[in-house]
Amino acid sequence: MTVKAKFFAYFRDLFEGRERDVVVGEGATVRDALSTLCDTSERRREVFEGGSLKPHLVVMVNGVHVESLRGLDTALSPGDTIAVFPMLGGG
Amino acid sequence: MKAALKPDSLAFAREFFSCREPAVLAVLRQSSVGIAGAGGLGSNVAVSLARAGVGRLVIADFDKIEPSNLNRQQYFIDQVGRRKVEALRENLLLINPYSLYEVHDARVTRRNAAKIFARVDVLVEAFDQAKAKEMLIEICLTRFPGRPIVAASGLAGYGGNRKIHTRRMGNLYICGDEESQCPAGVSPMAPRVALVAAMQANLVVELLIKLRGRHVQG
Repeated sequence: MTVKAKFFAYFRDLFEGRERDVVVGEGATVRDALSTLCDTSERRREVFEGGSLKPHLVVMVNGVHVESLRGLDTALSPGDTIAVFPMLGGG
Repeated sequence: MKAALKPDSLAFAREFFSCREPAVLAVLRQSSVGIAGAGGLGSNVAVSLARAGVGRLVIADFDKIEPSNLNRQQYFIDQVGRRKVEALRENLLLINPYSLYEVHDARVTRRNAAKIFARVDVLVEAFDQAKAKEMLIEICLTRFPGRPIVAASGLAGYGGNRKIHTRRMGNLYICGDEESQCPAGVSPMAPRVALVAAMQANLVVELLIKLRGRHVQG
């Protein structure tokens, strides 16, 4: 199945675009989709930390925070949209 | 004549709340807004919302005022060394003594965030650290899924007015340019942090009107 990933802030440079279609297997999770997207060591380093998401990343599925669902284990359906937003410090 | 009015008089209060759209003011007076952080963003958001007439502000911060804060935060030289939330409450009362300011001198954490901000209509994220920003967004959207949270990301440097915008993702709103970060040891500058804080406050007013006053013309 195909899901869409949308990137914001400096992740647009990291993933070379504003969005990308990702092909994953049936029953795939957010973790699977992000792992597929993170096909370089730099991308993996920017997204994951010890098997979890980096703590400054906001990840949403169809506009719902992923932690309101099942976190990285949230199952995806065809056409779902994953948004990845790295928060920047300063205030 | 007006200068002779005393702030504790009814006549002064009437004058204070004059020159406002009555229906909008009525909504704001009934509203409650949480502000997590009382630094560059939070102190500016608080001042703006107090002037707008929001009835209740819940403000949390664990820090004390440093001389370096005075380059962008709503404090004064004689307040250096004091707890931020106490000084901010004092300043807000000097601006608008008719609203309620509930302050928490505490670090906002995963354990206490939902309790501190349990009874607010809209929450403003006004932290400095990116990890803390995400933590609050996560807590708000998971514990209070119907409640908007207005965050900030990307406000370093100067200029670039056209780059500053608001992005919405569900009930998460993010104000800023989404790209600028301060170099180590350099703080945001007053104009840009105040600009983003004003955008946050302006959006809060808009959301309150939508949430609580659907009859009000925008």
